[in-house]
Amino acid sequence: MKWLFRIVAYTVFVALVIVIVTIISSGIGYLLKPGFFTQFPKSGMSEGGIFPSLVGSLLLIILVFLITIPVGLLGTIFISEFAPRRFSILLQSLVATMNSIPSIVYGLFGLSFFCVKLGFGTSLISASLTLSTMAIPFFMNSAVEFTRAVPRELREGVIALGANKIQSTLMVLKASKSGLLTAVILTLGRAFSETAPILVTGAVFYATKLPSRITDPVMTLPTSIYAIVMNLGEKAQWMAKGMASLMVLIMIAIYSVVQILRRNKDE
Amino acid sequence: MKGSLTIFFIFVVSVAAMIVAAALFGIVFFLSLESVTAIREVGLKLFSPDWYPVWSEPDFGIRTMLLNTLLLTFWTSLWVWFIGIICAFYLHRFAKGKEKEFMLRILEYVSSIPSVVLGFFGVVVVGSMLLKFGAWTAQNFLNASIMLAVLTLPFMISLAYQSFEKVPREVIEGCVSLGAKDSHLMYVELRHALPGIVNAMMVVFNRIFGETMIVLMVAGGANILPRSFFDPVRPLTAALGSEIGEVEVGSLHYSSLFFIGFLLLIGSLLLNLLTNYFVRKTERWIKG
Amino acid sequence: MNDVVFEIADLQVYYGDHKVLDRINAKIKQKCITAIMGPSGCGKSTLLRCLNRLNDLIPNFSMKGNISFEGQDIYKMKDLNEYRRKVTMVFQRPNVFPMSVFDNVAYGLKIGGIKKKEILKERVEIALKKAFLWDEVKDKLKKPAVQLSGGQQQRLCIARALAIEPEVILLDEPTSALDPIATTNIERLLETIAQQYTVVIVTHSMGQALRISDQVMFLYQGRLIEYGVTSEVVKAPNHEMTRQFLTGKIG
Repeated sequence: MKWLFRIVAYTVFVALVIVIVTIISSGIGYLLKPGFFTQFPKSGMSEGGIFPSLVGSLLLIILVFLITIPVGLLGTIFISEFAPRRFSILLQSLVATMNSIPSIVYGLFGLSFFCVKLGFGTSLISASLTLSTMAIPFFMNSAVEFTRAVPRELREGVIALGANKIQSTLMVLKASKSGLLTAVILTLGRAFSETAPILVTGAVFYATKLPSRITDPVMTLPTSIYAIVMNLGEKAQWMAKGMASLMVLIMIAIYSVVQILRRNKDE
Repeated sequence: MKGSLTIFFIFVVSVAAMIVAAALFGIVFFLSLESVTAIREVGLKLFSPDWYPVWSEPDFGIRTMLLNTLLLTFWTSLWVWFIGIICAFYLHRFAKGKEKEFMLRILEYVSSIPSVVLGFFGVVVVGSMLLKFGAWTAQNFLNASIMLAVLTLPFMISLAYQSFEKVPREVIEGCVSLGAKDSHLMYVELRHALPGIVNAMMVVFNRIFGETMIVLMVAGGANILPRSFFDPVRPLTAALGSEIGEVEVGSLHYSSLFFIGFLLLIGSLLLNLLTNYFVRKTERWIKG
Repeated sequence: MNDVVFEIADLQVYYGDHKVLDRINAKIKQKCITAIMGPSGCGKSTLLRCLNRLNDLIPNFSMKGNISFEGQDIYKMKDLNEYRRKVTMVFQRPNVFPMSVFDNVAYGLKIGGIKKKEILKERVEIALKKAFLWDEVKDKLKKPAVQLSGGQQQRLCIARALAIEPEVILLDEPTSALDPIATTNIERLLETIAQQYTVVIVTHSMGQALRISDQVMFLYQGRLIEYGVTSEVVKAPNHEMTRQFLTGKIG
């Protein structure tokens, strides 16, 4: 019996390892190419570097961070500290539902609301807002678990010393600090990897200069990979491989940090 | 002074929560708003099998795409469920120490691979492999199915594994102390972990249903019903993803694409409700 | 020495429809140790938590009757947070905050508005000395409080309460999670501070009530059965139920 399970499991895990190793190894060489990180792509992406895509992704993450974390944190606090029980359960299920909506649907919403209705067009700001709409429920879903997990005795302890609502909330945040940090990191990682929503609302595939204003469109790593694979030929594939490898390495780094945080918390 | 600061704080916090709640309604609202034109002008013909949006007499039928979505989703989900539960049980019961730790790590890392990268892998690696096996096109149903499985297996295994781990020790100890056989023990564990597993199954189904990038890149893009695994197909998400970039805002084509988006939205919301329903039903069933 | 601090009049407490305390009438005296004892589930903690209005946090809590502190109805206090700094509480399981030893003790002072470093240092040292913890932690002030042992953590919680110079200290079974040596340390500590503060302690252990309290209240199933000077109640209890509890027949 055990051997049947073992065969299946080993096959699966070997396959998964092959996938991840292939992705990393086929592109990692290019990362060491001089100018890979600092040059613009040239000649239909068959030469040059990934600089604009890198900058674009970075700008996007920064904007998403600035929009998502404050709103997400405040919303989380509302659910776990202020809302009456029934309302907070309702909000939590609302947030969980939003988490399961396909990302392309968020893209459509972003297109019709941010790009068209609000007039931001295909731009960095539209893409950031769209991604944030997706990221906030994702963040809140984990963050609420952590703030809820703060034991009642801690809350009672500060109140018994005369703390008001703001002070007791601050204590709850302090107590769930590492969990919240994990949630932030995972949310940003998720925003970094998303492609569909920004394809529709913010990305261009071949820019000659960096976005100078928030209303300019932007190149990002995932959308560039998509563009190369679908539209450009064999000659540009090396760049996509490099980008893919870079993205996976960054995600692995992110998850390793999260694992370290988790282990520290358990100590 | 403290009092007014507290009131301000409460206000700000509530506003944030309301924004989030409003977003869901906003999404439903805008998607339905934009699809109204298509619903009005194309009506029931939206469910015809032909999708030729750029012809002079365009057809906006989504039936074939819808069927492709359902076929791909059901087929892939069945495999992922079956294989996922087996792997999860192996991890829970038979894997030890370093082996277990290594496997859990691999699951985390693979689950973090962006879907566009998996799509890339599918096009380049899986595609050429399939060509060697006799496929007539590298991007096809099977390719999409495989890459979707790679996308969702880590998640399925992880969730199912956690469900097994959460089976209370007292239950196991109780059975063992009554002299239960191994296979019976497995049955008991499965039974207790079932709600969590059912939840995982539904979440995976929902994920595959809504996945865009992978199918966009490797499913093939032909609006036909597949007669073999090597046929290219075009699920709803792929059609949406590939055409929305080039469509004129406000046109009938635009509106029909939004109709597809609206269907996807309703579909995932329904699946969400079904998930809760099935999980609760399972919980009641195991309590007997 | 014989002033009344709390006057509890006709107190009835409900959780939803469930009556938890029934017509409690008592006057708690100043600057002595009053113990509330009784078997599990008799309402001791509930009564204690009424005194600093901590039960307000529980959703379906409601009460009838009246509790007054130094003559004022506690439900008509102008500033509830200020009141809780006068009537502070130590809990059953040590609930140290996720910060350093120093910051834990200083916390109550900081939220009360005291920010000056010199004052904080001074008050923290005094409080830790009163709690008989200073010698053990004086070179560990910046270390995380969670690294202390259980008994030390509980003394830290007491120091934390003492630092804000309250008038009353409420303790809810403070030693039930501790080993016998830590328990003895805390009992000695309570006896010392009882000369300066009013102490009300809920205890599951009859022995503890007998060891340290001056006044004792015996609660059974939500009713106040007996209340008086500890030595007298022990020698000659007025009620049969008290006698049964003291001799271990109920509990």
